[in-house]
Order: sequence, then C-alpha cells, then structure tokens
Amino acid sequence: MTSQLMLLSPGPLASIQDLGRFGYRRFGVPQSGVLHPDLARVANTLAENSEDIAVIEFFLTGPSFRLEKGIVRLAFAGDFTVELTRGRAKRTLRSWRTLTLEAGDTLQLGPVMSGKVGYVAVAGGFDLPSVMGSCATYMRGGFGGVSGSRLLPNTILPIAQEDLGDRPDRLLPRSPRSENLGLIPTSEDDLPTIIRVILGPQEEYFTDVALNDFLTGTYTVSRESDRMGSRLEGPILAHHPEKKPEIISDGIVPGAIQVPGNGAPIVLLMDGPTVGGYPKIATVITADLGKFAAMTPGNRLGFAAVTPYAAETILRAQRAELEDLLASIVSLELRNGVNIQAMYKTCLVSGVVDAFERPK
Amino acid sequence: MTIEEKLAELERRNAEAEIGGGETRIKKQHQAGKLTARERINFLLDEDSFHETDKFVVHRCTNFGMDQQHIPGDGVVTGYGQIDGRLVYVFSQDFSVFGGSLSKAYAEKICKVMDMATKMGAPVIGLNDSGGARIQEGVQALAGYADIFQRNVMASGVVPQLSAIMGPCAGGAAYSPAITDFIFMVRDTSYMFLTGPEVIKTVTQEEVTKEALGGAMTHNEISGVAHFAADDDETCLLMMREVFSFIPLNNQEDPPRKVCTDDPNRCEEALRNIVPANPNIPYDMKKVIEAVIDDQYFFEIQEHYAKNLLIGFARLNGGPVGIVANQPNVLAGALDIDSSMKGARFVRFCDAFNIPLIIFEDVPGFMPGVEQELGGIIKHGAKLLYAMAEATVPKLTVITRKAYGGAYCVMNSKHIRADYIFAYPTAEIAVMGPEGAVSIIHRDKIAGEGDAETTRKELVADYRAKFANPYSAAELGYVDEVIDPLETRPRLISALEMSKNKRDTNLPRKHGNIPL
Repeated sequence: MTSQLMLLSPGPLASIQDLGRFGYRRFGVPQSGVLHPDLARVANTLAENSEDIAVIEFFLTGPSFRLEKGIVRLAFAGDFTVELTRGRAKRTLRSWRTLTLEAGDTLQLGPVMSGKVGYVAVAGGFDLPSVMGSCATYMRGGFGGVSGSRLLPNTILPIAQEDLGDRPDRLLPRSPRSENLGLIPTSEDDLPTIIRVILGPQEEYFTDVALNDFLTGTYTVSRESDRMGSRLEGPILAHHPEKKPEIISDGIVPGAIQVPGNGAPIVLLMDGPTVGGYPKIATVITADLGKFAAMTPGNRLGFAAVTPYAAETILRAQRAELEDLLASIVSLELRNGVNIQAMYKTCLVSGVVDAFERPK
Repeated sequence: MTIEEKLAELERRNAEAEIGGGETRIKKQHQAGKLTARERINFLLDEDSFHETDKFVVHRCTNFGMDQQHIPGDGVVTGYGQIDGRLVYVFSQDFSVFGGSLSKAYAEKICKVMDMATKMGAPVIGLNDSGGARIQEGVQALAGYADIFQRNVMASGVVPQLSAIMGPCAGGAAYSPAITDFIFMVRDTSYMFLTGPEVIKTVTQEEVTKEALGGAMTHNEISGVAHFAADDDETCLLMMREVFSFIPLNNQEDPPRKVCTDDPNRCEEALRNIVPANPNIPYDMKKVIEAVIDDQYFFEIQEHYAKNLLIGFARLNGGPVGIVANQPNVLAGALDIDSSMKGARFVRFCDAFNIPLIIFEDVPGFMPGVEQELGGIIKHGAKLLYAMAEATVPKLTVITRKAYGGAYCVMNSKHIRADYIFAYPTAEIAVMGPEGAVSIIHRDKIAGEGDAETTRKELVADYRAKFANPYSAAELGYVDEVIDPLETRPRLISALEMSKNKRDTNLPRKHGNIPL
C-alpha cells in the first residue's frame, strides 16, 4: 500500500535537501544541499537511510504532518519537541529519534530551541527525481526538491515506500550536547560562539587593523541570513588602501567570507554563488560550517584563525565523535508506549533527596 | 550553672532552632517567592496563638556523615494554635533545613501532632514543602511516611485534614496530602507527582516539565488531585482559614454557625428569570445558588475541574451547608466520570462532618461517549450514587429544570433518602426527555406515515404537556413541594430548620464497599 504523508504546514522556507549537487559549479550551478550535514546525517542514520538520502530542512518553526494512509517512519534531528496526536491521545516526545506514524496520526514539531535549523528524514527517503545528480532544492534556480520550490502547505510528499518489517523505532539515548559535538551553537551562555577559519585566500587585501578587528571583534548574525549566505554585523573591515575592494572573479566555496566595499563581511553558504569578485578575508573550516549555518539572527560569534592542518585535525576529531554518537543509537522497545526493559532496569522512584546540597 | 545561665542556654537553643537552615537559605526561600515554614504558620494562625512542640528534636541517623549534621527541629515545625479562636494542629515543612527532607524523627514529630489532633478532636493542617525522603535515612524514611499515611487514614472522617502544597511534593510524599480532605496548591512554586519527568522520559519517552506534570493548574484543572489554586503563599493560607470557617473541629461537632445578617425570608425576584422556560437554553446555575445563600457568598471548591458539576460551601441563615449543583452551562449539566468523582468525594466529606447538603438539580443524564463508557462511567457514576444514598446529614434538593433518567435517581432523589425536595414550575421530572420518549412509545406512528414529522412534533408537544413538568412526580409524592422560585431561600432555610435534629443511621458494618 502506498503511504500518503501530508505536509500540513512546512514552516518558513523549509525545503528538500540532500548532501548537495557536485560537479556543476563550473556551469554556475551552486552546490546547494543541507546547511548542517552532520544533523542531516543523524536524521538519516536514525531512519536507517544512507547518508545521501534527501531530508526536509526547516527553520525555527516546526512543520506539521498528517499521515493520510499507510505507514511511515520519520526521524528527527535538531533541538525541538515532537507532539504526536493519535486518536484523542496526545504525547509530547523529544527529537533525536524515529517515530512510526499510523494512518490518521498528526504530528506537530515544536520550535527549534537551539540554533535555527531542524531535519526530518523519512525511512526509505522521498520519491523525487534527481536533477544533475541531486534532489536538493535550489529555490533561486527553481529546480530540485518538490517542483524546485520551497515546501508548500498541504502538500502530499512523495515517499519511496520501504517495508519497515518489524524493525523497532530508534533513538539517541542522550541528546547530543553542544559542547562535545559541534552540532548546535551554544545558546546557554552569553559568550560568543567561536567559529574557526583559515585566513585567505585574499587576506592581503585588508589592513592589519582590519585583520585584527576581524579576529578579535564580536559579530552578530544579521536578519539577512538564508541558505545563500549570512550577513554579519560588527567591526567594519577596511580594505588595503593600495588595493581595490575587488578582485578578478574567482571560485567560491561554502564558508568563504567575502568582504564587499562597505566592509561588512558575508559568509557564503550552500546556495551561494559559484564565483565572486570581492576579496575573501577567510574561509570557515568545514568542522564549524554547519554550526555557523545553524546560528539564529542575533546570535553572536567571534572568529579564530587556525592552520589548514589544524582544521583537518579538528574535522577528523569531530567526525570520530559523530561516529561515536551514531553508534550509540538504540532500538526502542516500546509496548503500548512503555519501554518495558526500562521498567526493570531503571530506578522508578522519585522524591528521594540528599540532605546536603552538593555543588553541581 | 546559675539560673541566669540556664535561661540563657534555653534562649540560645530556641534561637538556634528558630533560625532553621540559616539566613542564606531563608533568603533563598524568600527569593523563590516563598515564606519560611515559621512565617507560614504565623500567617495561618491567629496572632501569637502558636505553640511549638518538639523544637529540639534531631534525627538519629549516623550514615553518610549525618552524625556530624544536626539542626534542632530537623526540618519540620509542629505544634498547635488557633484559627478564629478554634483549636488546630499544624505541621510546616522547612525547606531550608536539609531541603525539607523527611527523616524518621521528622515523621515522628508529624505523627505526634496527628495523634494529639485525633485525641483532642481538632483538625490537622499540613504545609508541605519538602524535596522528599532523606536518602541517608534509607528505609527508615519510608517507615516514617507509612506511619504518617496510617494516621491520615485513621483521622479521615474523624477530624478534618487540610494540606497545602507550597513547594515540591514528589514520590511517596504525595500520598499524605492525597488522603487528606482538601489540597491547596500555590501557583508556580508547587508541584506534586509520584514519578518525575526524568523517569518518565526513560520509560515512555515523553517530554514533560515539572509544571506541566504536577503544577498547581495541572492538578486543579486536569487531574482533579487538588481543590484550590492560590497565587502565592499568603493567599493560600487565607483560603485555608476560609475553609476552616465552614467546617467543624471533628465528626462529633456541628459546623460553626455565624450570625446571619442576610434576611432569611428574603425573596429574590430574579430567580423567576434565571432558569429559562425553554429547556434547551443554557444558564449559569451559580446565579441560582448565589441568589439563595447568605450574602451571595459561595465558596467554590475545584472550580477549575469538571465544571459541569459545582461543589462548594455556603451558609444558609448562618449555618454552613455543602452545595452540589449541576451546571447547565457546561455539557448541558450532564454527569461524567470526573464530575461524579468530584461530587462523590465532597458529599462524603460533608456527610462525615455533619454539614447539610443542598442539591440544585438540572441534569439531562450521563455523558454519552465511548471514552466515558470505556473509562468506567458506570463505576464512577456509581460513586456519586453511593455517596448520596449513604449520607445521613440533612439532604435537600431543588430541581430547577431537568431531572431525567439514572441521573435523576443519583442527584439526591426521594428514593435515596432526600429529606425534602423542591421543584420549580420549570422542572421536568421524567424518565427521559420528550423527544426520546416519543421516539420509543410512538415509533410505529412516526415511521412510514405520510407526514411523519408533523405527527412526531404533535406527539412530542403532547408528551411535553403531560410529563415534562414537576406535577407527575409531585402526584406520586416524589417531590414534596412545587414552589415559586422567588421563595427558594426562605423555603430552604425552613426545610433546613425542620431537619436540624435529623437522626438517620446506616446498618452497622465494618465498612461499605463503595465502587472505587
């Protein structure tokens, strides 16, 4: 039986994305793809998909779904809650898990609590045509995803049906914590998030004062932030007086930090242009790019320069942590909504306290 | 030691006990918007009436370094005092001392005042603000809780027991308030649950906050565990004093009368218009109640829960009464699971403490629904029936409009020992509503014939004229008087006066078996 998953409301600018479109930038086709590949990978791994399967990427407001018929398993990555309405019963669950929907179920995802981005994967993936080797939506170009556009309300999402057999739902036993995995920007303390960069390729286009301001100043993510790039507010970066604030256009990668004539830096992201004519003061390292892309307008950040070698070491360490995290995924043995194993194994008693207040 | 030195020693020890967990923790308590254990007692009781017992009791635990830590009083302030000059026993948990956690010695202090209260015949008020069992005490803490629970049970129906939740109340600790007669909760600072959010997350993967799981409004609106919600400690304590003014000190006493300044013979013209003649139009039963009682003062209980049934205290000619009333504004006043349980427990409280019951009835029946039936409405509706039928206090009923079906029997009908039943001319006392009755009696006439709809309408009008009124019940003596609504107050006061020496008993037995 084919399942029909109705997307009731997608939230602003939600779209279908996969890991991106490679090999076409020489024709001016941007890479596109998920802003935060690690989060999307968590969603796909929970859903037992391969990592290149397309997912729903949404921002701030959680989407809502109704399963019209059949059976579908969704996986959720990002910091938000999931409210399931089944018949007259409502349950609020956390993300970082899969949930198997039955016909008639409705699902409302809560707002994203840390960062701005969340991912929903569907077990088996979406049944969408590949355009230039990818299902990623490039909204400005009007291709990829569902009809080349952002997701619209009341859309039946095409599901590549997969037999779930009797495989149980899965979850991450603990929510990934921001400090030991660069998944989500920290929003708990007041300190700016540190985003690491490799200087260049055109750092010589800037004065020493500008370079110093760039690395020591605090920037704020502005409201002009989307999948294409993110304008920053903060210290203005003066171009070297002997050089023009422009170069002969050259290639741009996601993470490149362009500084146009007004001196306000722009970090280019997945839907960013393939070439540009402004000097690039630095490039965000791959390990920190997802975290940066997930930052909410108003979040503060500072830049720190690292060597290419250090950037690779950081990335390797982060990938290893992600592997550990994914390896910790467990199957859920819920019967009638109860984890029977936990009933035997965990302490069920509340309301017992220590007479002493101990430092936390 | 000279006598002066000995007195100084006493003063020093008193001061040490009174400072509890120390200035810093007291400050913390205040910053959280809470009063301290002692401030609460002083606010609750008449000025300077509190006498503290067991001020110097300390715990006896030697495990995990506890032998190095003693604070006189051990985290709970106990004693007796007065509210409006009437005796009451109090315990107040002190969150500033070991987080208010319960030790065996702490439990013994509570048990001591409870034992005294039952012996002397005075209510117990518990002010709860405790993290829970003190883990260092191990199973002794559990023993302490169980000792308290046993006393709560033995005191139930003997002396009134009131509980305020003014901080945490988690796990086993929640069972002591649960057994008591009324639970008052303070908004934002209090919560009650058996198993907390962390354990729930592990077992059912549900995300829930403490507030959503066990906050004041959760228990006042959804679970029905609590009876009152107060904005702050002071309001909570004032509400407790108010409840205290309606109830006797023990089950041998009558409730305290007040001088009545409202004319007992007051007729209320407005009562003629509150109940609409059209049985399908809702109205607010609270308006009927307020027009009848002294000074329009209705002290509603569980006002946020099961709003289709109103319960609360009021006075008639100065004497406290318990009011149970269908609310036609909500679910047409039908009885469902929640309202049946709400009503049943209140009826039993009033019966236990000699508070006459006044029932205002406008009930179309029991709530239909799969959820209701599968939820056991039979069993729960039977609770209200059982409680009403078992009660031996004066029981008066005013039927304002509908009294249909099984719900008619339940809502203090003549057949379950109502002492006096009034009906308004708008009353419809019948086996069921006219539409339903006609569809059964005349089903052959209204099926098939040429103009079935016209026939049906005529038959309904005919049935309504004959049976949808108070008179067929009055002819059988199931209603004592049909009255002009404006006379409700003097009539009720007179019937109450008439039944004040009522003696009725149930057969001796160990206890009945109410369908729990």
